[in-house]
Amino acid sequence: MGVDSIRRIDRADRDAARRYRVAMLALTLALAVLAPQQPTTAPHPDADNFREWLTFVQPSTDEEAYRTIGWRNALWPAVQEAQQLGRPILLWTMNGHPLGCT
Amino acid sequence: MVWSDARVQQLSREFVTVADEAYMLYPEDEWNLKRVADAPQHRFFKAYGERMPEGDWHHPGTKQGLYMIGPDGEYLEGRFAASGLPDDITARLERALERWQTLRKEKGYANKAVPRVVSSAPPEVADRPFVLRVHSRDLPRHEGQQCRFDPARDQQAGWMDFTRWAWNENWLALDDGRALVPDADGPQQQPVDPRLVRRIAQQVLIDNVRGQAGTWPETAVKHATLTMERGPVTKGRATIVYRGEVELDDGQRSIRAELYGEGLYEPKVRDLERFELVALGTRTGAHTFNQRNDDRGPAPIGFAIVRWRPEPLPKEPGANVERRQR
Repeated sequence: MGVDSIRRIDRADRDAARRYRVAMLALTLALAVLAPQQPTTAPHPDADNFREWLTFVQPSTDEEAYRTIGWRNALWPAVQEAQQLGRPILLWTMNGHPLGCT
Repeated sequence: MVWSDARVQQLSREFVTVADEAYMLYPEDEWNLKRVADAPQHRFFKAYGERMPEGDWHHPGTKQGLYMIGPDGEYLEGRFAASGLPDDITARLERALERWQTLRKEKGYANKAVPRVVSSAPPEVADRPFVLRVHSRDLPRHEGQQCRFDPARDQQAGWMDFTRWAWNENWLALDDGRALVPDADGPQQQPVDPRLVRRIAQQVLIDNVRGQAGTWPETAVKHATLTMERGPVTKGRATIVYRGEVELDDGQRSIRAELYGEGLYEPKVRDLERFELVALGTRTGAHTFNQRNDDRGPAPIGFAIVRWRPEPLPKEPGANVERRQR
């Protein structure tokens, strides 16, 4: 193989390598834009922000609307009450008590 | 979504409304099933379920759902894993009440007015003297993230979209709140009994935001401290400031959090009138039913822990109002 051929091959290799690096850089930037954002660090609670975070974590009135229904917390006493009143029962049941951790 | 609907709320007042735990009413495993076999609530619920139309009663399997039941267990309406759509639940309630009108005449039920009640707490804590109510919620992972239900966006959301606004709660009952009050004769800043701090960490600092997770084993509590600092007394009440840290790690999941809180104490009656604490930190991992397998973190999480008292009874002139709990 002549020297000129070797030089052409070397240049071709360098060009290929450069194109590869550019492509990888573009891919990396694209992934950085499209990838899910990393979670922020948890805030430090203190006297200034504590009440704001308390309100944030606690459910709002809308989120607690289920409590406006007025739920007894055990079926059998409710059945006895219904029998005494002669009224039907609406039972809401979940794994984990609905008024607790579900 | 369902319970905030005005029509659902209106119709529910025609019923004796009750919430109870499905797995305790009708367990899915043999051991627990034998244990409750003779319990009246299980027998009542089972008998009702066996009267339901095929497809509405899920057996074997989960019995979670909404059920409308006559006083003697008669079928009116209901479905396991009932939908979260107000229109569907409204339709079921209306059908139930139509059937009720026929049933009550047939059987001569008195159909007396149902007293208004206030929602309570789960029965294992409801009557205890000092109860902590704990809420959990994901904290924002990026600027502007709300982590709350948005009616404009979420009213017709799909089932799994709940992770956008998920929150959950937990409860812990203490014999009294004095362990959270500094000794008047002690230094201004004192440690809260480490056994209580560990108990709080183990039992309620649990990532249950998206669903149930187990309590922490003792060995998972790597660090749990809380101090309480007396503040000035104003109008007979003393303020208390709480600061602390926890680190929990059982190999499958972890939580590291800082705690800050404030309390209000009335020395005369020795009552911790108000107790409010937040724990803000980072969680990793997944556990049992908390639906974190595709979201193992690390990610920020928050807890709010407050003293709970039964809600006041609604003030309605002439209302027959009671608090109903076991």
